[in-house]
Amino acid sequence: MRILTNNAKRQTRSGMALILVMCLLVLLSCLFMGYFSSITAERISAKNFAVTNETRLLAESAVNIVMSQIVEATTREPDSAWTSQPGMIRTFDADGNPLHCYKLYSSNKMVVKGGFNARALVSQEIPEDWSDRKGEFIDLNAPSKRLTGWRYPVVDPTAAKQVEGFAPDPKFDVAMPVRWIYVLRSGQLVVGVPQGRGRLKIAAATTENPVVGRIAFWTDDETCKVNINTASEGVFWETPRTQSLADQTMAIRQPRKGEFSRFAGHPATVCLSTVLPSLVGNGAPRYGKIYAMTPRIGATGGSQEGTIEIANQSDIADKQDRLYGSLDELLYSMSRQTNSGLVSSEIERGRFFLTVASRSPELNLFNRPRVTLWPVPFSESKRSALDRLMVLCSTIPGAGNARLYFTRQDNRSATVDYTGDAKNRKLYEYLQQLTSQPVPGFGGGSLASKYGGTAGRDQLLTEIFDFVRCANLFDPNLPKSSDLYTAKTPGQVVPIAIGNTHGLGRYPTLAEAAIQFYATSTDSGTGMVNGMRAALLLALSNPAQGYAATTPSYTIRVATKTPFSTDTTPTFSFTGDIDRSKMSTSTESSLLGGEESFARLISASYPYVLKADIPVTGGKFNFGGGVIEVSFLPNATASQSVQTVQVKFPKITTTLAAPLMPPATGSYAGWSDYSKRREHVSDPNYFQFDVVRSVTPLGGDCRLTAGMSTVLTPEEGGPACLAPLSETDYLDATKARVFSLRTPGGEYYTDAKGPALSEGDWDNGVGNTPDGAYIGKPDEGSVTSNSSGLPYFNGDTTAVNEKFYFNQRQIASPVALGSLPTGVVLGTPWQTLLFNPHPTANAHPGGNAPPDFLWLDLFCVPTVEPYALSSPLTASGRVNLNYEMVPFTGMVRTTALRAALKSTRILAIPTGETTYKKGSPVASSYYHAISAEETLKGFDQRFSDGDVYRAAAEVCNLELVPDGVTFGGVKVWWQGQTLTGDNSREMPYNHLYPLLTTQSNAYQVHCRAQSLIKGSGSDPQIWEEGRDVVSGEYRVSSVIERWIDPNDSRLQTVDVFDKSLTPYYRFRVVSTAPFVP
Amino acid sequence: MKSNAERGRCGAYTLIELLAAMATLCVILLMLFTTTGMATLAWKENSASTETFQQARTAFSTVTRRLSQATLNSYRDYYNTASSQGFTYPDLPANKTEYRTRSELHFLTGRAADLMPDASATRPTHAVFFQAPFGYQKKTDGLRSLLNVCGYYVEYGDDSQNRPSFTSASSGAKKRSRLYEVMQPSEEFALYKSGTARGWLTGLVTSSLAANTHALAENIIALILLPQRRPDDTDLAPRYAYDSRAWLKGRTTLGDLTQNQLPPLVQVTMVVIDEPSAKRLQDQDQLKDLVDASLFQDAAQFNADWQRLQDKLKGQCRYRCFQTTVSLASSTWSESAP
Repeated sequence: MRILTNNAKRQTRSGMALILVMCLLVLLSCLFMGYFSSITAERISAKNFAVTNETRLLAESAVNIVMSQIVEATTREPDSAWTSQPGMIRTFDADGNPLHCYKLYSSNKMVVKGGFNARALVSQEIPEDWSDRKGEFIDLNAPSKRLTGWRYPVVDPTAAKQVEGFAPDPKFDVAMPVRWIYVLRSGQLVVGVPQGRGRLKIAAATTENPVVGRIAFWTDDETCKVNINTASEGVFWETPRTQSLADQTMAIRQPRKGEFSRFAGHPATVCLSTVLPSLVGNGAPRYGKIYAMTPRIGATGGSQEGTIEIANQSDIADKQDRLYGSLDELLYSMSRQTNSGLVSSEIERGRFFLTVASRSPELNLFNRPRVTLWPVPFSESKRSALDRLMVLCSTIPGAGNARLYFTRQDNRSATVDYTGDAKNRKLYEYLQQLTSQPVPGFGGGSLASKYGGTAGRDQLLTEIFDFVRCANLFDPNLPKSSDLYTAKTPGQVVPIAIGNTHGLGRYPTLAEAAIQFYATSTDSGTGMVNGMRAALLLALSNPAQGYAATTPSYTIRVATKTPFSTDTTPTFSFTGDIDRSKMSTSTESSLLGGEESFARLISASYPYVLKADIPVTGGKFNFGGGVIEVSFLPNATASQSVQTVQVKFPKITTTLAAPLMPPATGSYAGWSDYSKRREHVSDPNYFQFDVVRSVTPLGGDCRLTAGMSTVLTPEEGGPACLAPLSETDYLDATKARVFSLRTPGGEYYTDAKGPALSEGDWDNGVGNTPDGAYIGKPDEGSVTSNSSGLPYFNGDTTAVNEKFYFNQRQIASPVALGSLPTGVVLGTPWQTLLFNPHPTANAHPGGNAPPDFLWLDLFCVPTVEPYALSSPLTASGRVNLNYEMVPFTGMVRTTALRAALKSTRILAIPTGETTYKKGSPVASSYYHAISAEETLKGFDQRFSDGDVYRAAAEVCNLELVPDGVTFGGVKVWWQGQTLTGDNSREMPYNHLYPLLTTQSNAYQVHCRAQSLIKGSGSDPQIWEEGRDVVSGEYRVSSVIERWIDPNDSRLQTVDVFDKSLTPYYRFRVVSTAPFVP
Repeated sequence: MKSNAERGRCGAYTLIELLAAMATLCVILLMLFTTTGMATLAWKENSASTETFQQARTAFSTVTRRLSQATLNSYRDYYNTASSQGFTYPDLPANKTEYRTRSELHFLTGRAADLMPDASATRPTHAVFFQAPFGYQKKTDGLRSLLNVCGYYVEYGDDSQNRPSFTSASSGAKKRSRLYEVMQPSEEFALYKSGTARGWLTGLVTSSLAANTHALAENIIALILLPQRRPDDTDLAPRYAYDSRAWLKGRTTLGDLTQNQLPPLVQVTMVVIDEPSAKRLQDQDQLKDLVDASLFQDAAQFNADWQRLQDKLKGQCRYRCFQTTVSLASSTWSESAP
C-alpha cells in the first residue's frame, strides 16, 4: 500500500510537469496562432489591395487599347480620310474605298480590312445566345440593384420615355454584350475559344504565364451626344426672303447680339429639350429654364425666343457662368443651387445622351487645316474684336503662325488684296493644291477636274476669295468708322483679278443691252412713220445683292466698236460716259444690288440717244446690227477699267416694221421727243410703240459675265457668252420688242428666267426684292424700320448697328458659297455650286463626282462667341452624322442629330405663288419644321447599306423632309415648290452643316475589368466559368480626348499646308467615373 | 533502516536540491518570460510598423490615384491683357484682345504653411488642392461625377477631431503627425462663388476644414509634391509652389506658363515612420519638429534635402519612403504661353 501510495505521489508530481509542459505548449501555440492569423489577415488585406489595383490597371489597359486603336486608325495612313462612330473608326483611301475598320470595343478581331457592314455582321459580333456564353461575353450595361431601383452604368432603359430618338434594341433591350478579352500575366491579350460546358481554351496560357484577368469594353463617341456646354434651345431665325407674315416677323423680331440660340449654325441652336423635355415651359418664353442653366447663353433680353420686336428689346447681359466640368454638374447652378426643374434622375437617364466634352477636329478630309471664311483687315489696327478672335482661331502658332484666313486692304483695287499679301497668295495656292488632288474618302478625281479644269477651279477660288472680301463691309465695331473697308466707296468692292480669273466683287455688271427705236416723225401725207431715233439702253446688275446698301461710285463708258446701221443710215454709234456717282440715289432699292433698271440711268443728259433721225421708208427698216463696248471705270479719269464687255447686236436679215408713233395728244403727247419721253420712263408701257432688241449674258445670267474682266465678242476671240435671250425671237421681224428689261412699274420680276427655273440655280432676293441671278452676298442686316415698320423691306439703306451685329448673319457656314457661278469658264448660265441638289432638277454637273459639296470641307467659320467654341484646329459641340452604334446596331440613338434638326426650318415657295414678294401676303409662312422621323429614314439608308458618312458635307446630299410629308413623298412635294431659289433651298443646310461632323476627338470608354485566379491544379489553358475564381471586378467609364496643341513646337518643322496633322495629336483622360453598384 | 534510507532517498529532497531546482526553474522561467516578452515586444513593434506602413501604402495609393484625376476643365477664351488683375473676367467684347487658356477651377501645390496659413497648426512640408469629379455628396444620390474639392496635407496634432463625439476629446489624445484628406461634398462646392483667386481655399481652411477633413494615415511626417513637365524637372515649380491662378497676382513668365494649366506630372514623395518610433519621438518631444522647416523649399535641392532628412531619421526611427510620379491624365500641357 505504501509503495502504492508512494507511486501515487510520484505520479502526481509527474502530472504537474506534464501540465506545466502543456501550459507552455498552449502558450506557445497561442503565440504562433496569433502570429499566423495576423500574417494571414495582412496577406488577405495586401492581396485585396493588390486585386483592387490589378482591376484598375486592367481597366486602364482597356483605355490604352482604345487609344492605340484610334492612333493606329488616324496615323497608319495619315493621308487617308477617317470617320468615327460609336464603337468604330473607319479609314478610306483617295479613291473612296474603305481601307480598315478599327473596332473600339473588345472583339476577337480588332481591325477589319476593308469595310464593315455592322448591321449584317451583328449576329457575328453578338450571337443570339451570348447570355449563355458567360466566359465569352459580358453585358457592359448590366444593372445593379439599389434601394431606389436599378442602376445602369451606360444607358438606363427608362430613357426611352424621356429622350427623343432613343429606342432600345428589340432583341437585346439595353444589354451591351461584348467579348471578354483575357489578359495573361505577361500582358498578352487573348480571346478564348469555346470548348463547350462553359469552358474556354486560352491557348497561349501556361502555368508560368497564367490568365490573370479579363477586360471587356465599348467606346462611345461623345459627338453623338448633346454638349451641355454649347447647346441650348434653338429658335429659328433667318434673313427674310419673302414677304410672308412669318418673314415679316423675322424682320421685326430679329435676334439681338448675344442671342446665340437664334444664330444660324451656332452650336447653341442644338436643342437640349430632346434630352431634358421637362425643362420646356408651356407659355412663352418656353425655354427660360434651359437658358438659365446653359453656361453662356443669356436668359433675359433680346427677342425672347422671337417674341419681342426690335424696338422693345433690351440688351443681353454677358453671361459668364462656369463651363460644366462634368455632366452631373448640370444639377447645380454657379451658386450651388439646384437648377430649376431638374432632378438627378433626369440627369442619370440623360447620361447616354449628354456630354461636356464633345470636340471634333477642324481639319479637312486631307487632315489639313480648313480655311476660314471671314475677311480680316490687313492692318491690325483696323480690326474689330471679332476680327481678332477670328484671327486667333485661324492661326497655328506652333507652325510659324501659319495663317488660315484671308486679309483685305483695298476695296477699290482689283489687285492689291491678292498681290499685297503674300499669305493670301499662299492660302490661295494651298486651296489650289488641295483641289488638284482626289478627295480622300470620295475619289472621282479632283475638284479641279470639273467646270473647265484648273481654269474653272481657279475661277471658283477667285470667286470664293472675292465672296469673303465682300462680307462685313459695314462692321459697326471697328476702332474708327474710317477703318471701314469700303469707307471711300460705301458698300462697293471692285472685283479681284487673279491671273486670268476675275471675282464678282460687289460691283455692277452689264445685265442687258438693248437698242430701242422710237418714232420721231411721220409722213404728214401717209401718216406713216418716216423718222426714228435709236437709243442704247443699259440694264445693270450687281449680283452681290443684299444688305447693306451700296452707294454707287463708278463711271459707265460706252464706245462703239462696230457701228450700227440701218438700210437708210449706214452708220450710227453710241458713245459717252455716265458718272453714276453724280446721280441721285435716294429711294433706290436697287442700291442693295440685283438688277438695276435701265431707267435709273436715264437723265436729261443721257448720252446714248441719237441726236439725228434715222429715215424710215415705207414704214419698214432693216437693222444691220453693231458692236458696242461697255466699260465700268472707277471714275471718269481712270485709265484702267474694272470690266469691259463687248456686246454684239446681231444683224436682222428680214425687214422690221418701223416703230409706231405715239398719239400726239393725251398721256403720250410728246413721246416722240426723248427729252419728254424720258419723264415717262417708269411707265409700264414705256416701250409699247417701239422696236426693241436686246442682248444679255447667256440665259440672262449676269453672273457669267460678271466673272470676267474683259468680255470680247467671238470675233475678237472671246467666248460666246452674250446673246439675245431668244435668238429666234430676236431675228423674227414680226416681233417688235424682244427684250427682258424690267420697267420699275412693270410686271414684277419674280420668275427667274427660263432655264433658271428648271435648273434651280437662282436666288430668292432678300426681303421683298426680286429674285434673280445673285451670288448670295453675306447679309449684313437691316434693323431700321421704314415707313411700313419693317426692316428688310422696302429698301432700308442704313447699316446695322452693333446691337444687332453678329457674324453668323453674314456667313454661318461654307454653304453660303452655294450661289457662286460655276459656269463662267465653260459659259454655262444658271449654274452655281450645287451643295443640295434640287430633287426635281435635271442632272446637274454639281452632283457629278467629285460632288460640289466637297468644297464645303475645305472651309470653316469659327464660332468665337460666347467663348472660343472653336479654337485652332478644333471645334466644340458638333454632332456626328454617324450615329449608328457598332456593334449594337439594334439600339437607336439619333438624339443628338434630332437636337440639331429640331430648330432648323425648310423654306419652300410653292409654284405659281403670286404674292410672296408683293401684294397682300396670302401665305402666313413658307417655313416648314423638319420631320426628324422622316428625315432620318433618309439618313439611315447609308447605314443600311453598311457604310457611313465620310464627311459632314454629305448632309447637303440628304433630303430634309418637312412636317406632314413622308420621306418617300418629298421629291414630289418639292415639284410643287419651284419658286424656291437656290439660296432658300440650301438655307437649312447652312444652319445644319456647321453643327455636324463625322470625326470625333472625344470618346468615352465603358469598361469592365475582372482579376482572375485559376483553380490550383487546373489546366492553365482552360478557363472554366464558375469553377475558376473571379477575385475582383472594376467597372468604369473614362472620357478620353485626342487633342492637338496648336503651340506644339514639333509643328515648327512641318508645312501644315502640305502634311497631314494626325501624327501630332496626343491623348488625355478627361475624367474617370467608376460605377459603384 | 535500509528500507527507510531508501524511502528517504526516494521520498524527499534535500533543501539544497529544492533550492537548486527552484533556482533553475526561476532561471528557466525568467529566460522564458524574457524571451516571450522580447518576442512579444518585437512582434508588437513589427506589427505596428507593418500596420503603419500598410496604412501608408494604401493612403499613398489613394493620394496618387485621386491626384491623377485632377481636372481644370480648361478651355480657350479671351482675356483682356490690359486688366487681368481681378478675378472677375473683364473681357467685354471690345476688349477681347488675347486668346488664352481659361478655367474656373484651380490647382495648387506648395508649402502647407503658405496654402493654409494657421499659426496654431503645425503643417510640415507640402499640400495640394484640386478639383475632380469624385461624385462625393451628402444628399444627392446617384450622380457619380459631381465635382469635389480635394486636398492633402500633413499635420501634427492630436486625434481628437477624428474621435467619436462620445469620447472625451482630451483623454488619451494621441499626438502624431498624420496625412489628412480634404474632401468637400459637392453640395458645398464653393469655387464658383468665390470672387478672388484663393477665396474658396481661404474659406475652406478657415471655416470648414475640420468638417471636411479626415485623417488618411498616421505617422506620415512628410508629403513632398513637385509639379513637373518631365521627370527630373525642377523649373516648373522651383519653390515647389504651383498655382494655376498665379497669373492673377501679376504677369510673370512662370505665371503665364502655368495659367489655367494642369502640370503634366507631379512627383509625390511621402515619408512615414512607424508607430513605436513615433511614440518614442513624441515622448521625447521630438516628433513635432521632426522634419526641419528649412527642408524642401527649393526643388533643385530635393536630393540634398532628402539626404539630410534620411540622415536625421536613420538614427532615430524606422521609416519608409514612398515615391512616384503621377501623370495628371486630363492635362493638356502646352509649353508656349497658353
